[in-house]
Amino acid sequence: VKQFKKNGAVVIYGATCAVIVGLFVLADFTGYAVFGETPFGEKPDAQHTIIMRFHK
Amino acid sequence: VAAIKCPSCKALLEPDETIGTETIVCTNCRSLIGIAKDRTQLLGHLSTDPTQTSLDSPLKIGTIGFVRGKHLRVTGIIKRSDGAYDWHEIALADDTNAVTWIWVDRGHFSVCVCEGKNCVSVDGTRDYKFQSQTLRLYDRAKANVVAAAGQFPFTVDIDRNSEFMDYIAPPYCASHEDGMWWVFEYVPTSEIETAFGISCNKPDGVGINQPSRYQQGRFAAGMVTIISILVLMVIHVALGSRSSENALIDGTVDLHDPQNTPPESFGPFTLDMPKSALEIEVSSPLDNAWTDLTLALVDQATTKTYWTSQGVEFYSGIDSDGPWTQGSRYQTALIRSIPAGRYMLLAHGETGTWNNGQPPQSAAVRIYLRSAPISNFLLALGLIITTGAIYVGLMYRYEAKRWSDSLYSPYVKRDS
Repeated sequence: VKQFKKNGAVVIYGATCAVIVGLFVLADFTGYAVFGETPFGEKPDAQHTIIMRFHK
Repeated sequence: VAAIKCPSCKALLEPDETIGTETIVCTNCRSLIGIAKDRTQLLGHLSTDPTQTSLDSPLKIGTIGFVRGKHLRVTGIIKRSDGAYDWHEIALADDTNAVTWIWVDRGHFSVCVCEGKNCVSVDGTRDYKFQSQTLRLYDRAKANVVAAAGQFPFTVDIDRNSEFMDYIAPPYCASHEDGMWWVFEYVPTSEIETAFGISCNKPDGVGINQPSRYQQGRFAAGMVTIISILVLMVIHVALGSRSSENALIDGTVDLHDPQNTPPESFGPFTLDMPKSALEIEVSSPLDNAWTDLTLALVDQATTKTYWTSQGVEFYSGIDSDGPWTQGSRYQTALIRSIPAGRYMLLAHGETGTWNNGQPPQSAAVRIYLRSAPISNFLLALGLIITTGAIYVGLMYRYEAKRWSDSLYSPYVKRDS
């Protein structure tokens, strides 16, 4: 605790680690995968149009 | 001792009997005068060349301050040099008129905490120790006096070119000279400025005995690293339990006549979390053929569609090097950021063959919930380790800078 109070290097290091852990917790808690394929979403293209035409 | 006259210029001098002055510097002619039993003796003349004799000391004669529990008064200043490198040794008298020293090296201050033959001990491995700290040789050199002012309770010999050795164990520097040890403890400039009410120039570089904040904080940094990794593991295991090995979708896509077959639908299934990562697994028992599945997740409430494609291909044969295979009958992909909702999966396939392959008749599709993918954990772990490596690198760089002026640097390989 003493080292934290007067040591800027440790404070910055601790804050950096806290931010990393915080972002990790946020990602895992909300189910966000940092890596992975982002779905193509709603933007239609040829394949999407075909599949939706069949669906309708 | 009453006022005396300088034997050289006859200027009036006032030795301070409370500190037992044995050497006084004439402020008029820069003569060095020895005093013993009310008798004076001309010890020598300091150079009058101002480029050499300029004391440029941050503390002046008569300055008063309160340093580490002691009221101190500057009584004498000596400037010594080893070639182009010089430093100040400042004598200060405390309340009991005992004289202590402050050493100023390139703007870095250190106060003497031990003076004597036994300040430093030698352990069984022949290492020098001060208060259980192992001292390392930093410098071995000869120094002479180039300028002085004030008065001293000993005889100052300006012709002497004495050899000294400096050993360091921050915040301490133990200097060995004439069989005596002087151990100095580093004092931050801000503390000196507060103690003496002065303003100092910023110290140059890293002081040879300046404590490293990286070294001082290494235990805390190590604890932070361990705790961070433990938190990552606990969170990953706890939130990872929301992932399931039970497939949300486990279906088979008919590939007999994909051109004329409408998309097959599977589900529905529900995603509860704000964002979900899904692992999509596609497999097909094919050989010398490929299939590519277009997969669409349709939110039943909003009809928003999220689609992707995933394929497998597998080829085999025999050539002059023997049998070979290429590709895989099984593929997985992580799809991220699917919002909460109730979804149907639509799947439609395309197929093709190579050489004498047969088109695949079906492909299996499975979708798993991966709420806390291992890649998140590995990324966070990598960032923590990288941050720790940067800390260690900064600690190394600080020490390398400290030792950059030393011939005995453990950070520089020298040819023997």
